[in-house]
Amino acid sequence: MVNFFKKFFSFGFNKDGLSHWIWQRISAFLMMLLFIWIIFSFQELSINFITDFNTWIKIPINLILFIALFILIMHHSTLGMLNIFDDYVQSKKIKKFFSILLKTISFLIIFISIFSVWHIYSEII
Amino acid sequence: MKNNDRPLSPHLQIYKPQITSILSISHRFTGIILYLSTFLISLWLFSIAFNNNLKIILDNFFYSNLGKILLFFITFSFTYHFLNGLRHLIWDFGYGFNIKNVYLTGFIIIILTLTINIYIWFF
Repeated sequence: MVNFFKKFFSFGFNKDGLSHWIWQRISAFLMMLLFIWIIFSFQELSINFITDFNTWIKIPINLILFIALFILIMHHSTLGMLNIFDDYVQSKKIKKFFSILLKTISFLIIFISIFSVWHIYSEII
Repeated sequence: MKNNDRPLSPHLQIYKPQITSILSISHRFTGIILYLSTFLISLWLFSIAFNNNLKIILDNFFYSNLGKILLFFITFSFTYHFLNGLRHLIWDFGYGFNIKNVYLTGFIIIILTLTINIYIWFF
């Protein structure tokens, strides 16, 4: 049981295939719900998008869900890209190099995006 | 000679082109496009928060023909990946596995992707 939780809370990033598979599905399902929410939510912003976006992000629930969606997107896509490396990069060294590079880039994208959104939120509050 | 490298998945050119293989390959390909497009979203958020000049450059780019083509590929990839992902989730629950349904749902996804993108870009 402890082993199961250890694998599960690796969020799919250890070498266990089942954990990877489950997290890919969990993130996909949650993203679908959040994408449906954001598509309908954004439809009301279309006239002056940037100004409306700044007002929209001011509502805390929008900010939290937007950040959650972005983290889910990066989590899901990083797992997907690692899967492609697994399937098509044979050399262990090259695969390890690209995996670390990919995770670093993904982390930077998450960091820059959340920092930017937080800045927009705190600037207009 | 000792070789510790694990075997690879079959390379793409080995598959006979058919709806099942094309849709599977497209799912991965659109996934790569969507991963790359997160760079743009991040850059766009950064420009709104910190750099107005960058925002103007990005706005001009997205209003140009090249920008519109890029956005078209992103919306197309998103729609396709979303719908085909839903199909994958349904498979994971054990439904729709027989060959007739696999072809039918594949065909529905192609039609829906095209319809949604025509609606987004032309209406």
